[in-house]
Amino acid sequence: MGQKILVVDDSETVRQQVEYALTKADLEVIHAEDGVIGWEKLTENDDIGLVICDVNMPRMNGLELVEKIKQSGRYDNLPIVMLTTEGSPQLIQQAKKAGAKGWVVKPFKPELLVKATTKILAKNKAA
Amino acid sequence: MRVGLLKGRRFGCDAEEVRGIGSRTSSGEVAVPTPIMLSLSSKQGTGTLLSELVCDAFAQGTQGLFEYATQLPAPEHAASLSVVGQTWAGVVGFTASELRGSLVVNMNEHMVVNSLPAEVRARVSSDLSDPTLQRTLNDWCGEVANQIVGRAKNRIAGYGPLLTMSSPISLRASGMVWGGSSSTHEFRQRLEYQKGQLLSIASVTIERDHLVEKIPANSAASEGEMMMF
Repeated sequence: MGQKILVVDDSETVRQQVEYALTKADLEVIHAEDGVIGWEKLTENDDIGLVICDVNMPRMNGLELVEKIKQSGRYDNLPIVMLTTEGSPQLIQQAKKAGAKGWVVKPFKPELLVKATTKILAKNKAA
Repeated sequence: MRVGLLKGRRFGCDAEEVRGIGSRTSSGEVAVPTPIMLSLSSKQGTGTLLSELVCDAFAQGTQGLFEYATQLPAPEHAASLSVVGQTWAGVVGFTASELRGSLVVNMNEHMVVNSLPAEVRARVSSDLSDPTLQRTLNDWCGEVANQIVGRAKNRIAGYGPLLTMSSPISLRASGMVWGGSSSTHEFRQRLEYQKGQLLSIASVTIERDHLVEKIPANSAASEGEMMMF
């Protein structure tokens, strides 16, 4: 099994969809249903190579999670890709400024997400 | 084949404008489908009525999601406005400075199953009473409503109003009946596929209907789009 990916989305079906796509590419997936649990999972697993994160979630939204991750100073090299129905340029800029590496608008083509994920992981490994 | 889109109470757009992704002829042959197209009534430079924009956004949001995400074939003739049998409904509320409302997406159970992402559908039980499948359908029904409102939100944002969305909720019941609401505008769209039916109801209160113009800087990314920074 390859690198570990944390998928944070309040829809279980979306998390499963992402997991099925990524495990085909030999990636391991762990789930979280909101930003609070996402942060807990991240701190409990020191081998997470990438985070895929929804924006609109209860308790802690995806942009708040990105800011928390980057402001912690512990995950400077951890790439984060937003996966959301949102498409507003202002939110995309906010995510980019907070440190996200990518933005995918739902509904998504699983093969494109896999391609983006593997590309980011390879680039991060080489850096 | 045709899409059933009915003009709701005091609704600002004409159902005839969205008619037609093809129609069945009297001989039973299927006419060549044409892309769904809602012609907003205003001319370039004079803006678009907010109510028409909202109508268009939800019409295309519903139709587009089921075409893009589910790859289901074009809808069959929509004969009535009810969804029969065991049904699910996903509900999402939304608000902006100039409008507020909710979207209900009511689907029969087969429709929910058939609209699941292919990777998930391939792995779920075919037994509709299976508790795991029921949990998946409960979740997915809310997510469908969430994605439709998300699509509409992106479209509307291009003209200024920025919707804030609630978390989705899901309901399951037989014979759901959707009565009128106190909203100023209501839009109902029914799509019928070989393997299921759905009814989408957007109830929207617009404080003051007025002309809005496209703001190029607000143009949102479209579904499936991927940006790397």
